[in-house]
Amino acid sequence: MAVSGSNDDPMLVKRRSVFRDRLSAALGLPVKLYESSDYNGVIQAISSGQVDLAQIAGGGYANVDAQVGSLVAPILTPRQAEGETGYYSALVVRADSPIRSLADMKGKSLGYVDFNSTSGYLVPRAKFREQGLDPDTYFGKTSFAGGHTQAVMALANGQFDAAILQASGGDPQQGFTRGALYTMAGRGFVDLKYFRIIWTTGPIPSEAVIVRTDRPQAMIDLVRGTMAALAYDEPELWTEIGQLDGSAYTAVTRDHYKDIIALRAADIAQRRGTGGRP
Amino acid sequence: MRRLHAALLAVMCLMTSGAGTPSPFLRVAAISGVTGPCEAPAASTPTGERAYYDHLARRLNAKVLRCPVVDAAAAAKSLAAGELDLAVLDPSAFAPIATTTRAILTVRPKGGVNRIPVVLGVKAAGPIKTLADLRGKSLVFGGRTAAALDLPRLALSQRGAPMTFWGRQDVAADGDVAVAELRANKADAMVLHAAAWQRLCRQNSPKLAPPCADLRIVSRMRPQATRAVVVRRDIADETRLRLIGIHMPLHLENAAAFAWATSWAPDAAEFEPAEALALVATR
Repeated sequence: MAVSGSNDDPMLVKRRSVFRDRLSAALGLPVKLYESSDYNGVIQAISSGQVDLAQIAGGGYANVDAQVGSLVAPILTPRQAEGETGYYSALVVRADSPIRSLADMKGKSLGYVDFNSTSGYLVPRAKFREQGLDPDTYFGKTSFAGGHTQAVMALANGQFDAAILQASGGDPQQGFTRGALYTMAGRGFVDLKYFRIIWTTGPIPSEAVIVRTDRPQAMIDLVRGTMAALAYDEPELWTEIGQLDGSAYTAVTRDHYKDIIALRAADIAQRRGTGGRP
Repeated sequence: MRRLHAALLAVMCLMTSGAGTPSPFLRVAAISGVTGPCEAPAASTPTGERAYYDHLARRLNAKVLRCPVVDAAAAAKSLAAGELDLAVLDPSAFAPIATTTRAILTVRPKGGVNRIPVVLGVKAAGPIKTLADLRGKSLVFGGRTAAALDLPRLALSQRGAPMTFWGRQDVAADGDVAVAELRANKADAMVLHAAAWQRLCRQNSPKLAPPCADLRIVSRMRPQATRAVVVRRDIADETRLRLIGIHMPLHLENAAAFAWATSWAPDAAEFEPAEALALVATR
């Protein structure tokens, strides 16, 4: 099983060992957890068949789909308490910044998360275009922070005027509770009062549990059942490992991510037309 | 990977009918008003029902047998006796066999939310310790959505606290307003769904005091399921988990089988896993 590590909460990857242990008990086999330092490591591991399953954001799955098509399929995604199966992308500035809106960002510097990040790159760029902004020319400078945590720290340190971050556990009306900013605040690394969200887009289809479809169907069914049962069998453990309270897994197919897959294809085409700059 | 495949083949063959005894059969209760022997579905079996049995048989690599029983109570009795492996039961049929069987699946209704937990809270400094202590007291809800209002009302009603139990009920705009009312003594209790409680009480900085240190959780409860797929507790865990894993995407993979399998819940959108006592409200 592959997971992306070194994200907003290193403990999250450690906590995913809970799934490893559950799967190992259910399968009667040792299950190894492969931690990749970036999204691409997970993408390549599952695409090449080095791992059997992975947890990955929609944009990452879109990249896998582009490489191997139906050899990999999503089987589960989190469904939140209010029924949402998505999260948000938030444009965040420091609270002392004069920037109040996307319009104020013209000529300013923007930090994306990673080329393979759904909320930190893929979706916001598409939404910028929908709003008539060319993300390749509208901002004065753009670059990749390398991860959500790095994006928060770069913003806090003044390297960017704004950063695009994932936000979940709520919505723009009621506020958010999850995402790098909130996790880092919870751990005492930053203080929420020093940041301001000025723009959001979403909901974006949440991360998927994806599997190699050339594995036995019995294994796929067992993985799906084992991971989905945890929210009901052990609700306290479910929240301890970073899942939102009241959330649960729901079954999905490729169709759930078709818009993200189309966005990824369009963005790749766009990048090829502009020399591949972020 | 060869070892994995071999082990999974072993898993595929591992169906139990009680006490860990391997069995190549899965015996499903068919509540039909008549009693009969367990048999493979006949050629005359309706299309949807046939599709369900075929789907399960293919995915479990086992014979799935249709076992006619008179009613849910008879299904429960046969299930507990080890004469069946799976039945759809209601709370009254489940109650006598709750210690030897367990729920594994319920359904989420179309446009509805899962059976999410709801949290009933009061001020920690007050005298209220149990739900019973709140009879005649005032209650504030944290919103008007299905998750914020309908589900808590259902869960409370199922535990003996319907609308008439309360002295006064208020519906606040959201959890923040609701907790403000509780803290201002404008309400004696507050009920939120689990995610709203988490949003409210999440500690955003270790330097700050826990935001809900002044509150006490009186009860945390899921709404009681009206029906659930039930198996014996001694069923092999991998069998239980595979049944969950097979049923969850049924609406996406086999519409006819799903429609028949959820004919007891015509507005079903999908199967969702269930805790062992999903059919019991008093917990």
